Amino acid sequence: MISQRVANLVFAAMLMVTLAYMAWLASGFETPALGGATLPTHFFPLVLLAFIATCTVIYGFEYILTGGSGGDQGDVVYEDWLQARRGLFTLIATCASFMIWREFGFAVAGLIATPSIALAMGTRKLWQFAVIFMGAGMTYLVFTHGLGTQFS
Amino acid sequence: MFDAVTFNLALDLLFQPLTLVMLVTGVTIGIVIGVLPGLGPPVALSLALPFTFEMSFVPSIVLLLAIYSASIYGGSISAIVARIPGTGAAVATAQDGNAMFRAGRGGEALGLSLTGSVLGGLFSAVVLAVFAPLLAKLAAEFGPREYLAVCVFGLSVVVRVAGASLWKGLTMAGVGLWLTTWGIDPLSGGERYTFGSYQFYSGIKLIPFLIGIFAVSEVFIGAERAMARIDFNASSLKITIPGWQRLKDLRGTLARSSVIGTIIGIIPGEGAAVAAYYSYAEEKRRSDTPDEFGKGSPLGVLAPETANNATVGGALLPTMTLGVPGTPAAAILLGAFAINNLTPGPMLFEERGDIMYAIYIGLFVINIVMMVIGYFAIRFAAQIIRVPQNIVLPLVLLLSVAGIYSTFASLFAVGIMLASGVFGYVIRKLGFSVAPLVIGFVLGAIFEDGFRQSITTSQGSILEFFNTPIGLVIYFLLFLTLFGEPIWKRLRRTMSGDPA
Repeated sequence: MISQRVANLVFAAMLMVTLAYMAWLASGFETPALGGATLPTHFFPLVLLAFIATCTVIYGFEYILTGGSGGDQGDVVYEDWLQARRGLFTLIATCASFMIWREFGFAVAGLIATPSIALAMGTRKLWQFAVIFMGAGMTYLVFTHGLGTQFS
Repeated sequence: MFDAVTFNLALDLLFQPLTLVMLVTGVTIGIVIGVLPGLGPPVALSLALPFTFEMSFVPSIVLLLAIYSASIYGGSISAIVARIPGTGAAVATAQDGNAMFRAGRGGEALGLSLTGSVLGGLFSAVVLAVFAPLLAKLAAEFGPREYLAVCVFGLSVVVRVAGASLWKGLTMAGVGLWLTTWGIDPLSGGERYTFGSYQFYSGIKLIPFLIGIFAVSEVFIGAERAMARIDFNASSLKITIPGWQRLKDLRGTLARSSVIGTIIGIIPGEGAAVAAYYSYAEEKRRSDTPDEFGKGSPLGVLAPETANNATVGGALLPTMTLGVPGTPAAAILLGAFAINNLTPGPMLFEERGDIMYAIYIGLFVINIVMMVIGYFAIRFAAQIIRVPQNIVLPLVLLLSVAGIYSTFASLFAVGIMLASGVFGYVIRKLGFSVAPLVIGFVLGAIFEDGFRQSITTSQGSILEFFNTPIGLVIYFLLFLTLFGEPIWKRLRRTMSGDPA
């Protein structure tokens, strides 16, 4: 599912756009007149962005010309839909839980996060949910009572 | 050099009840986390770091060092028993170890792995104790040009850890370096990539970034195969420790692997996995029966396991003396120093020699305790592999989130960790190696400061960068690291008259 070639070319294109934007931002960095600073503030970011861009172009061309880089010709990103679904759903559930934490507080996010992440991973057995809930509860207790963390 | 008073102070610090409890707890936790597939030393240390807040420095560093050493060893258990390396460092062990296990020689493989790990760890602890004070003295002479040379050395290893594609590896090293330019420029005070938020003034913090890259991305990767059942024949779990005669026969492998592991640990950026591979390859090259490697050779277990644990003491050498971490895990150990307002470097050796002695002795004792716990806990530890990943992974994620929030008291830090995790997941899925990214990120700030300060002091002349005896030695070592092997091979071929 999704060849490494296509995925890497899309990634390289996205990276190049990001690099261009970051270079534009860097060109606007101001260097306050402090003693000892002979190189301007934007020097290092720009040099590194140019370096990343060069490497990206080279490996991008490897994918275009040879179909792969480092011997991944014919490889795929996900072996099947099930694998992709579990990985991506877990990622989405994690990010959504973070948003819920920001908007509605830790308690709500905590109640939703662990079971939804377990569900995204393919957990269906009730006892496994119970174990995860117990583990999550214990973690919460250790941090709040043991370490004095105050989750907002 | 040796100061008996400081040594006694260190013993007092070390043999406190809390410190000893932390030592045993750390070894146990380290073995358990090491056994769990995918969760290596950086994850184990990241999860443990928040628990050290309320402790004084010695118990906390002993806990972290115990977890560090034991988690590297723990990775070999799942590699041998189920051919699932618990850590990257155990990948080289998996083939021969599991072949021995399936052939009914599991006890022998587990014994070799434990013995090698302990002896490698002990060797590197001795090297650390002997060389750290010497290097600290030398480090007192270091200026920007010398630090720059150390960073160039560290960054050069990207070539070796870049993964299958050099250009993709270099891309990630560049990204790692570039990410360290975010925040207030320490030399000029100018803002860089702060996006109008004060939260970015101090840049991207190391620990949330590392936990994201290692732990969170591993949760997403692990989620894809979380429901796979892992099983093995438990009857082959009785550990057999090699006797004196066997150890005598294996002393060459033990010595070589210990030296290789310690040296690779010292090189900034390289880690236990590289040491294990290198040592495995070296033993295979020297062997009279190289064909046996991969099919159940005891040396194929002993060499990588000795080398990967020997990286611990090696990695602590630049970490403690220069503040430049030898491995990603050692970078997290720097966090423990920071929490206690201690700055690694020559001054620390000068002012708190007792702490340094406590670390050397602690590392030594940790390895002894690991031998005992490893011997008795092997059956239990191996059963942990059977715990379904879909139970372990959500809890790892929760621990990571809670740990970061507890450490930084900031949702922003949690956001950085998750963003790093998502980025880590994407690049791993696309076949990038994360090692260059981490090396770039760990060395980035020191590299830029060293470069810019060197430019300033040399009034713009790059040639002046090399006008330093210590720097020249480091650049010479770099040359040897990169080109020594091909040159040596060519010389040997020429001397043996083989034109090929």
